[in-house]
Amino acid sequence: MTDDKKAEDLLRAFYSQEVQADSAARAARRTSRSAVQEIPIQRMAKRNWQSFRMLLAAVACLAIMAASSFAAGHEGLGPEGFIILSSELARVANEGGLFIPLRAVLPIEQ
Amino acid sequence: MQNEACGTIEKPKLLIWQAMESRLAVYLASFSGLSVEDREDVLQSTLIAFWRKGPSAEAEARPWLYRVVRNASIDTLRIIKRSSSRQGQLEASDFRGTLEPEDPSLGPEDSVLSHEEVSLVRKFLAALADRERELAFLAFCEDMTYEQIASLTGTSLGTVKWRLAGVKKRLAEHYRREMA
Repeated sequence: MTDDKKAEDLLRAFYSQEVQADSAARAARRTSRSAVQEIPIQRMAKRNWQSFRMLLAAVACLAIMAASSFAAGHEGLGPEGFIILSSELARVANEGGLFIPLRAVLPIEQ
Repeated sequence: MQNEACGTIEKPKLLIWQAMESRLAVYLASFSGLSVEDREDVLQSTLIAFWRKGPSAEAEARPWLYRVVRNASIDTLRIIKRSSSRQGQLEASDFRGTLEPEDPSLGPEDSVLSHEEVSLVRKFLAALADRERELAFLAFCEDMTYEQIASLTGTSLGTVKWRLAGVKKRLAEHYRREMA
């Protein structure tokens, strides 16, 4: 093997190893980052989705009650019904933690 | 950063970037004045530029990326030179970073060169001028033609050939001497 060829082979092999090593290091960093950051995000998304479903179920129940009341010739929900509906929805949403993101953007009460 | 930045990146560009990122990182190690952090900054700014206005065709993307990385590196080196507070750091830095010790995750089956050969080549490259290291990378890692290298680096064709011949000759001598 000529000197030139030997030198070329050494450099090619060296650079190939360096690229592989860098690639492996980056992949490992990405994996460790996602393990730290993505799992809590997934958990949080799952938890919020559960509360959101609870809220939807509550809205659906109250809507059915209001509709059936209205269909039966009564006044539907009425002012008191709206207050009860609002407070019930607020309670469900608060228990589900759905107000937490809102608190982050709303100004603090004086 | 890459994941966030690539959140809406087109798929062809993302694939090109994934294939090129480590090669660009090793190329950046040719510029001895850049610290590991500087190199990562250059890589990130290149990714953003590529995402915004880079070509999607692979054949065009490769020289485009090298040109952007090269220009960004030269700009960063100029800024570093102007800042006297960085001088101490610069003098202490050498050819390292991505070319630092091998990744332990690579098993012996992945290794083409022996440990002695790797450290020999590393030592040899560390002693070269930035320009020579850059040419060696483009020729032997990227397999660019002399014409492509000359066009990218703004060097004459004759100078590229002459410098690369010198690098090969000196490496062969260094290898004979050290491995004897």
